[in-house]
Amino acid sequence: MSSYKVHYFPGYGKAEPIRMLLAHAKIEFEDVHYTPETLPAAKASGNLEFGQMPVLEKDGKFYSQSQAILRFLGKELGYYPEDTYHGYLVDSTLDFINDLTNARFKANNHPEPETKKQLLADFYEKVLSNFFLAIQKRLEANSSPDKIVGDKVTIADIALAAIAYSFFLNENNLSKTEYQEVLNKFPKVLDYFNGLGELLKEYLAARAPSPW
Amino acid sequence: MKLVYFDVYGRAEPIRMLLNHAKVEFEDFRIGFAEWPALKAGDNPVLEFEQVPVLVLDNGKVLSQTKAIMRYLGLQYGYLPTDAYEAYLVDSYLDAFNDLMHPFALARWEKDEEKKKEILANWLANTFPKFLTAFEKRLESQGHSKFLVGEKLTIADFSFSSLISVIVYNELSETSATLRETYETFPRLKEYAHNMKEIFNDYLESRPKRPM
Repeated sequence: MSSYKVHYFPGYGKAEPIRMLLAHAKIEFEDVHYTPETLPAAKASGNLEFGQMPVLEKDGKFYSQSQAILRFLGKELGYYPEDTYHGYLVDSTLDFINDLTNARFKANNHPEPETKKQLLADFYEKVLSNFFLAIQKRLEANSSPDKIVGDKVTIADIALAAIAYSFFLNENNLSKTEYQEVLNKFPKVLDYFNGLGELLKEYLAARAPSPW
Repeated sequence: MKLVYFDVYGRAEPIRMLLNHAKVEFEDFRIGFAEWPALKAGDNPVLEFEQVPVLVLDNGKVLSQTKAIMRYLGLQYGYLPTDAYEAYLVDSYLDAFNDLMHPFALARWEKDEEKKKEILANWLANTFPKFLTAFEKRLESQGHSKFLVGEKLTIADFSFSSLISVIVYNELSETSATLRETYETFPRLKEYAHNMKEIFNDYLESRPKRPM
């Protein structure tokens, strides 16, 4: 039996899909957290290949880059499709989630207050709307209405669950009202996210609250 | 097959390089920056996320998201490893290239000249060497610099050699000379660039020349 450790900050962020995947697959793992005080030692250890987290530690070997980790584990644990086109659908889902979080980060972290306000307004009005619309369209085109690709849970569902329950449906997220205002215009997507919440009910109930 | 992108190297170039190497005929459709706003606003079914590149397959299916497209083509044309760990290395390379280039791209779009210089200087002094150091280490543990992963071309090679041909070895790019100074302090990466130039020489000489 392999031993797994997820190294990250205490928040959900880029580690949450990995945690959720392991939890759903009923694989025990150690959730190792870092603070600004303990981070320098971690960087100096040589285990953070790009000086970044999350990293996955599996049987003493370290893996970096959250998407690559998710795919590596996904293939190992049966959460990645065999079919090339389905594989493409899964991969592009991970990519467009990344685009969303990048846009959010860029808007929210702009140092100039006027520009920040504009970027955030644009984010909610256009970027987030388009994101939900794209998900809706993919759900409509899929063989099952409650999975994003194919008929069984893939890392794409897991990645969407992670962002749904970190951002939009996270009780402790500071922007949850703004998110839900947009999400409520896409009932099929909300239904889908709620379904994912059911799948991960135990994990969601047990994890510590966090605003991000 | 039709590739749709702007008339620059950018995110489409690895796809162009791969299709060229695989001797796959495709239409290299280039959008003018002036036509783009109308195209984007037109609720075009080809632009799933209102972004490019997109690849329109012969069967009519449209693929979006660069990395997902690369992985799909890699599978189709034999540029992906079968070994799980080697596949992880390829995936994490693609993820890392995105992490590397994101701040560089932000600098390009920054309108404030002072801010732009600052972002670029920071990227050059910190981000660029950090990632190059990690890549150099990977080549060191691999024991050769012929390819990034294993004994043959993978999508990681198309992505990275395309990247360095655009930002490190590009006469039309004003930052190229400065980047080359840093890049060539890494002996294995320098050797790798030389190997790649030999493999792709004909393509690099004959493709339309652009500053980015």
